[in-house]
Amino acid sequence: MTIPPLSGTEERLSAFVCYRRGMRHLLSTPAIVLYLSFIGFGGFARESGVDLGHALAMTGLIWALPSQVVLIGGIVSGAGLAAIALAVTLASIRLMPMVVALVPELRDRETPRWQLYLVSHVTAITAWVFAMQTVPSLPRYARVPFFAGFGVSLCFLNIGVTAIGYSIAGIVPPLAAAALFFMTPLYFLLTLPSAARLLSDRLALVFGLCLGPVFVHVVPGADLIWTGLVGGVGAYAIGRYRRRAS
Amino acid sequence: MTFSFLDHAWWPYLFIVLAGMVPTQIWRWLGVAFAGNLRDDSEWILLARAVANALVAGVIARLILFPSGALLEVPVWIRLISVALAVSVYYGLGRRLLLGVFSGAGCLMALNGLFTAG
Repeated sequence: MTIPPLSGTEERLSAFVCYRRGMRHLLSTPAIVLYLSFIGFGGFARESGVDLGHALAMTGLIWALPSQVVLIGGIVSGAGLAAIALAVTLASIRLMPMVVALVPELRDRETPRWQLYLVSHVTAITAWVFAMQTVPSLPRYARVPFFAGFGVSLCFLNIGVTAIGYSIAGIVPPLAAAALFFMTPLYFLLTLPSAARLLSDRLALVFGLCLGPVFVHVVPGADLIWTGLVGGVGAYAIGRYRRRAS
Repeated sequence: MTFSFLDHAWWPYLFIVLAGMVPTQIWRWLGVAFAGNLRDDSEWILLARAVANALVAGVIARLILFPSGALLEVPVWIRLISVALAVSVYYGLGRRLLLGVFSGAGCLMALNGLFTAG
């Protein structure tokens, strides 16, 4: 993955130029893998009997695949609004620590708060991993427009990709659909270590991978929260102890 | 109140907003609010980053081991071998992301075709 040549020494670029530099990454590997995932989502929506317009609204308004899958699962099961809302709430808690970690990376001294709220809308795992990797090498003033250029365009493009997936559902053989679903976790697994700079970050990844499957059985339903809390706090504590010791 | 509770064109969209959008976005808004003016090397941010990494890793493990949809039809051992192959290809051949991802997906299709289709 190439990082655009922006450095603190050259002339200050306009926000629009930075936005377009972010857009240049719409054909990068993370973006392509995400398109494939949304083709899979479009097919899943159609197989679940959801209307095309509703599927597109889900991608544009929610922009978090796990939440969208939980929502459709709830609709199919005939659950009520409150029950589904609760399930989606639980499924998307992970977004909060992700945004908390991302905001200080993105923010310049004079970044207005509304811009951060705006770009938080397009923060999902793909954009988060991408930003944690690429943004630290950019000058601070360029980070929010660069991330917005990538994230907002990615979200809009994927509304169209959802429509493509919806219309070709049934043509894709189930095995190919399985391979599409499989690419997303593979991509995350391969890229996350390079975004993990500190010992605590790397330990957290290992702990999360190991604890996740355990907590699925111990605390089903709330397993992700517990994985994050136990794995994350444990990794942070070990990292802090090692920093103090050295 | 279910998805098909009211027979109006706008009801499903309102349902998507109330049951899907708001419960998701609220965590993003809280994230911006909690980040406040903290610096990227403050202890709270390091803790949040560790929790975020552990959560995402948990999501990965769940997507591989307890998937939904078509991937469920593929046996766990095939999924795990494919993950191992993708990781070795990625680190063995100079960290090429697309190559790693596609080799894993290709391995999944090949093994599943060989061992379960017939």
